[in-house]
Amino acid sequence: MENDLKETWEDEFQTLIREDQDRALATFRTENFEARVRARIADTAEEPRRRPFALPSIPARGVAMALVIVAAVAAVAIVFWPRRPSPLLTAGDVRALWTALDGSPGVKILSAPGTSEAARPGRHSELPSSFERTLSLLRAQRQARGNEAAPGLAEKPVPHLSFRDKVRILYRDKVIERALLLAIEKSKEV
Amino acid sequence: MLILLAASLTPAESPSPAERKGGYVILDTYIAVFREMAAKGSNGILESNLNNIMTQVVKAKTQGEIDDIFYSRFARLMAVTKLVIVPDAGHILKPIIERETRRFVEDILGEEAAAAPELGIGTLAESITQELLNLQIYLDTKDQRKKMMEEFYKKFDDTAKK
Repeated sequence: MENDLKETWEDEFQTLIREDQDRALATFRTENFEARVRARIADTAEEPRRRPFALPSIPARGVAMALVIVAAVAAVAIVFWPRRPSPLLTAGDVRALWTALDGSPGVKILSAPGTSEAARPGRHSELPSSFERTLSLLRAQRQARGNEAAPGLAEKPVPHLSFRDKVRILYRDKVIERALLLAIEKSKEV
Repeated sequence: MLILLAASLTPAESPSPAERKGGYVILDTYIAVFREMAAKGSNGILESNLNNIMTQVVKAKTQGEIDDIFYSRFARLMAVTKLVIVPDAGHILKPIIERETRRFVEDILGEEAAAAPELGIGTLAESITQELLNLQIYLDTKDQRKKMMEEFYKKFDDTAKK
């Protein structure tokens, strides 16, 4: 008796489970369950935040590879680069540059102390070749200018004044007296 | 041929055009500087320009654009000008300035002007003005003066031969 009741309950449970499965399967098949699930997920999911600047997405693997290559090149350059005694310009080199630049158009060197030391032969052999070439070019240009006749006063753009002009300026305008008065007043203020 | 003939007729010691032009340019520059100073009233302009003029004068002398006489007189003019405008707050340079300016005025305007108890700016300016015009006349008459001197010496030699 008890066993029969148990089997009856089990049969009913199995029937109920089967019916639920059949109903769920029918619903999945007839009502496009997959599309509804995706739509639900899309509704509940947060929108992805936009970046302030649209940067191209670089794979992390590529970045790492590039860093490795750069580091390798830098290491090779540091280890195998030919070393010079002094990569920076020494005081003598600067004086040599001053000497070469002094007198160039647009360049006025106030003082170039110790130029004789800078002009020692062989000193510039340690300089980089481009720097040395520039110095040689400037020296050659300066020497060429020195060989030419320097422009005299007659070539200066001074307004020509005749004797009559001079008399008019000096006596009528009294520029000498006026200028001296101004100059003496200024000098007394010092 | 004509050029050679003209060159042979030119006196050997006649001043070259560059020499005359150099002196004229120096005088023009000096006056132009004072004119600018009187118009603008800046002492820095005058002093720095005087220094530039003197540099050019020395250069012109070296290059033979001006002769010894012009150089000497103009250099003195520059020195007096500089002494007058140089700042001397403690009156340290006063004896030198007084002595040199009086000598300059005496040489240009005479003893009476230089003997005044107080040497005014007007007197000094008159002296500088006169000297500038004297230098202009010196340049203007330099060729004629040399020509006259040559003619005089020629006549003297001819008289001595007779």
